[in-house]
Order: sequence, then structure tokens, then C-alpha cells
Amino acid sequence: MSLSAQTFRPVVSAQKTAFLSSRRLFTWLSYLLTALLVVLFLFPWLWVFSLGFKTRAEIMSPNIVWIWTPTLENYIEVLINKGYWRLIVNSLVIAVAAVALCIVIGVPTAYAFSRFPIPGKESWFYMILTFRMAPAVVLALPLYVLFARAKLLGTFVAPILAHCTFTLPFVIWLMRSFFDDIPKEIDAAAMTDGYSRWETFLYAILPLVKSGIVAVALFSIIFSWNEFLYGLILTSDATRPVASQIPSLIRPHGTLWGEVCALATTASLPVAFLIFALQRQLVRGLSFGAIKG
Amino acid sequence: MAKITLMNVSKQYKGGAIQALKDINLEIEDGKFFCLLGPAGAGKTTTIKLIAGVEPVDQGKIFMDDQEVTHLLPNQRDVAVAFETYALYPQRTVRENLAFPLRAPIRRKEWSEEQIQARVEEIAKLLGIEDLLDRLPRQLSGGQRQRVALGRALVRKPKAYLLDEPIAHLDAKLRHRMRGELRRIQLELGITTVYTTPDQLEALSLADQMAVINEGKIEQVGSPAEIYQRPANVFVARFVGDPPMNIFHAELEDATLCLFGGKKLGISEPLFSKLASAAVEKSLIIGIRPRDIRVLSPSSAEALWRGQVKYVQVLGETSILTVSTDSYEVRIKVNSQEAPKRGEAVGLGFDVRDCHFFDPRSERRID
Repeated sequence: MSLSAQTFRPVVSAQKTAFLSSRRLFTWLSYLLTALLVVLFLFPWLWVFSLGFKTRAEIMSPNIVWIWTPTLENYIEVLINKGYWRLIVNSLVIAVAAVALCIVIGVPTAYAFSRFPIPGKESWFYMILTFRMAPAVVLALPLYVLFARAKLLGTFVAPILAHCTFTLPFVIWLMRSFFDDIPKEIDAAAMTDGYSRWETFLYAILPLVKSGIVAVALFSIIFSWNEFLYGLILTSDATRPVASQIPSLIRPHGTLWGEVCALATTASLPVAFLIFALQRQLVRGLSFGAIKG
Repeated sequence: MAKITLMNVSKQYKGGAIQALKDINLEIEDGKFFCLLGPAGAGKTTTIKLIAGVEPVDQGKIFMDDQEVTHLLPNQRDVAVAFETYALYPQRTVRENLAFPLRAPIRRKEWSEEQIQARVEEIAKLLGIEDLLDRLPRQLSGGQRQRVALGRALVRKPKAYLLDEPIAHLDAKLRHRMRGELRRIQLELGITTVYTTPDQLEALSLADQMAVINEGKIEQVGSPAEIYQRPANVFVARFVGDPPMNIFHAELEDATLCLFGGKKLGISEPLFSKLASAAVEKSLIIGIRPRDIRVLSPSSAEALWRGQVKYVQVLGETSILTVSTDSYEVRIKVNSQEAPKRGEAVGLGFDVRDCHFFDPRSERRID
């Protein structure tokens, strides 16, 4: 008995060490992989960020300038002298208005899709989803003609409505899965408690999808903020969003890289800030089922 | 307060694949406590949902008093429902759950904030959940949630209460107390109540009127006494009463009933002619309640059957015997003091007046 125990024990501990070291190896590998990914995703952004603070000479230098004195001249030139700070306001107006519109229309639509027996419901639903899949270019020309006829080209209305073509399906699609997660008995309970269909939606169901709405709205704002094509062709200089104005810095006599990067950095900051500030909300909102009672 | 009438109501699910209710006719009198008794999947919850208006009726009509409500929305029917699945509002505290019906926009003028709080406290005390008022549903046990669901129905005074197995998940002692409370509240307020349960004892003890439902069909409607004493068919006979009624076959011969084991039981002329006209090839189904069978000595002349006691289940004052005879196992309810021991040989006897007779084809009662 004691003999077998003695011979047996070292074997176990050897296995244990092997197991531990393989686990440690795995941990280190995953760290390495994570680090690689971070560098991969962060590098272009850091590159753009750094160029914004360099002079034209430093940017154009054949050797990469690693150490330099940061300058704000690109920012001052593009934001103040060229007056492009107004484009940030334009982007904000367009994104907020488009998303507000889509939430107001899309959330009740998603609820209807989740609850009502609509004939051919699933086909309608996937048709709406298909609109989201279509590349923006497909709709660009028809929308241009449409808005031109309606004399809306160059107004804020044009990009706001155009952004709804991809934001609204997204809102409907995602919100429906939130509503599907809520047991129908909750609706039934509210209605027998004396609430009308609409009041049931408002007082009993909507509070349950609050975090979902925040997450969906956030994503939609980011889509809208980053949208380029419609912002470029449907607007005038007065209403153009910031992302679409960057190509104007490509001049016949050369691209103003410093200003491009300064403007790009400025344009990304609000989005980065939003995601950072509402990280928890985003994750919670997107983990379906977290709202179940 | 209202009379509720269901006329030829049918309901299907999954595009007709599941027939939940088949041609239901019910009349629930104003102010009565009405129990709907049936096994799981019988259609009890569906009936509640149709009366509440939570699901549409496929065929038939529903009336409250003399107004047709078949196509009215739930909020237009003024009924309060306690759902079997609780359906509490997960983000609201118990207090807010209970107050929710009183805060409905249509009742905004009826209830002031103080009245709402007072009513919520009153109901919470009644249900023994006054200490849980500030908790969320997910912080409650099943039994506590069920009491909140019940409270949300009882908090207002509607035309009718529809309670779907409202105390099924409480522990035995609390369930007993709640049963008493429910009956008291109902008598006090006189509000028509429809109450579903799979527990026959609960139905018998609570109901003014009751219906037995099985596989989407109403098997029998009547007072608890009627249902217990004169079950309309074999299903009701077996389902109501604990332990269930003993059911076996018998043959009619001359002026006697031939029981299994060859014993003959003399019957009166009028009973014979009645049974003869209903019997199929002289065959009948006989039912007899466990407490209507007498335990005799095996040598007794009155013994119709002889057998051996297989199990003795002591339930305090009474005991349930399972006696195996030649062809059937017979259950008998006796006083515990008089109970024979396991393995003992016994004779069994009963009176023909205590027998229930059923048609062997339709399984309906022969009167």
C-alpha cells in the first residue's frame, strides 16, 4: 500500500506541473495575441494622431520623424481658419436627428413585429433587413434624384433621411430581438391591469428595454457620424458633415496631410469618447436576455 | 360584478395543430366562486386567457352580464388576472407591481397617491409580503412571487377575478391559509371569481360551482357536492376524490349483478331494468368510492371479495388500504384504528346503493 502510494505520488505532481506550465503558456500566448491585435488596430489611429501634430516638412520627410515638437498649427488652420469646426456641429445635427427619428419610428415598429400577427411578417422583416445589407452606393443615385426633385438637396433633411435608410432597419432588427426576449405575459398582465395596448408598450414594456435602446442608439449615432457618401453628395458646404469634408483637403498642388489628420482626429474623438463613457451600457445592452425578469 | 358566459368557445394553437378548447359552454353566475378543475394541459389557462381577452377566441362568444366581450381588449373588460407564470414587472419593486393596476391612466382620477399606498400596504399585509415591498421580483422566492402576482389581482375591485392556479407554489401551510383568505375576500366583496386548479380537494373546498375540464372539453359542471356524489362520467369519477374511485367491470345476470370473482349482488327490479336498458351486452362499469367499501373478516358471509392487504398508507386519522383480489387492486379508506395489517387476509363488502354505474361505451353515468 505504502509502496504504491510512494511510487504514485511523484507521477501526479509531475503531471500537475506539466498541466500548470501548459496553462501558463496558454495565458502568455493569449496575452501576446491580444497585444498583437491591439497594435494592429491602434497603429493606424496612432499614426493619424501623430501626423496631426507634425509640420508639413516633418510629414513629408523621407525618413520617419520619431521625435518632434508637437505643433497645433494644423488644428488651428483647419478648424478655425478654414472654419471647419462648424462641420462637427453639422455631423452632430445629422446624427442626432437621424437617430432620434429612427428610434421614434423603429422602436414601436420592432414592438409591432414582435407582438402582432402581421400577414407575411417574417418576409417583411427580412425585406427590411435587406435594406440594411445593400451598399450605400446602390441608393445614392436614386436618393440624389429624389431629393433634387423635392428641392431638399443641400438641406439637413436630405442626409438625415438618407441615414435612416440604414439606421432604421438596424434599429428595427435589433430592438425586435429585445422585445422577443420579454415574455408576452408581461403585456397580458399590463393589459388586464387596465392599460391600453399603447399604454402597455409605454409603461410596461419600454422600461424593460431602456438599456437596449441606449445601445442601439449609440451604434446608430456612430454609423451616422462615420457615414461618408450621402454626407458628401446630398449636402452643401453649409450642411456637410465632418467625415465627408476630408477629401476637400486633397488639393491639386498636394494633399494637406497634417490638416487631414487633424480633422480626422477631431472627428473620431467624440465617437471614441462616447464608446468609452458608455462601455458598460453597450455591453449590457447587447447581451440579450440580461433584461429578463 | 358580472355573470360570465362562454358560448361554444373553441381555441386552437399553432395553426390548428393543437386544439386547446373544444366547444366550451359555461355559465358562471354573478358573485360566485367558480373553480375550473382539470389535469395539466386540460385547457384551464387557455380558458382564463380567453375570458381575460389576452388571446383571441377562434370560434364562439363570450359575454359578461349581457354584453358581448368576445372582441373587447382586456382593459375594456375590467377583469383582474393572477397569471400562473406570475408575469411580474421585473424592473419594478413589489410595491410598484402592486400599485401598477391602480396607476393605470384610466383610473387616474379614482386613486390618489395616498389611497394607492394605503391599498398596497393593506394587500401586502393580507398576503404576508409587507416586508418585501421594496424588493425586486428577482429577489423573491417562487412562493413570494406568486403572492405578489395574486396581490396585483386583488388590489382592485374589478368585475371578475381570474385566478390561474394562484397558490400552487406556496408551501402547504401557507396554501391552506391563503385558501381561507381567498374565500373570505370573495364572500366579503361578492366579486365573481374564476379559479383554476389541478387539485380536486382545493376545488371541492373553495367552489360554489365548479367545472371539470379535460383535453379541452368540459366533463361536468355542478356544485362540489353534485360532482362528488354524482360524477357524470368515468373521468370525473376518477379525478375527483382522493384516493380515486375504484372502477371495474360487471355483468348483468337475471336480477343480479355479477361481479368479478363470480360473486353475485342482488339488485332491485327498477334498478335492474334501468341498467339493462343502458348496458352493452350486459356489461357495465361500476365505480365505488374507497370509503364506501367495508373491511370484513375473510369468512364473513357478506364478503363479496376476498383479498390480501398489499399496502397500508396511514394519513393520520384515516388510512388507505390497497387490497389485491383475484383481478383488481381495490383501494379502501378506513379509520386508522380499524386498519388491518399488511399481508392480512380480508373480506370486502359494499352496498349496491353506494355504487356508481357507467355506460361501458360512452363512459357516461347511468341514472
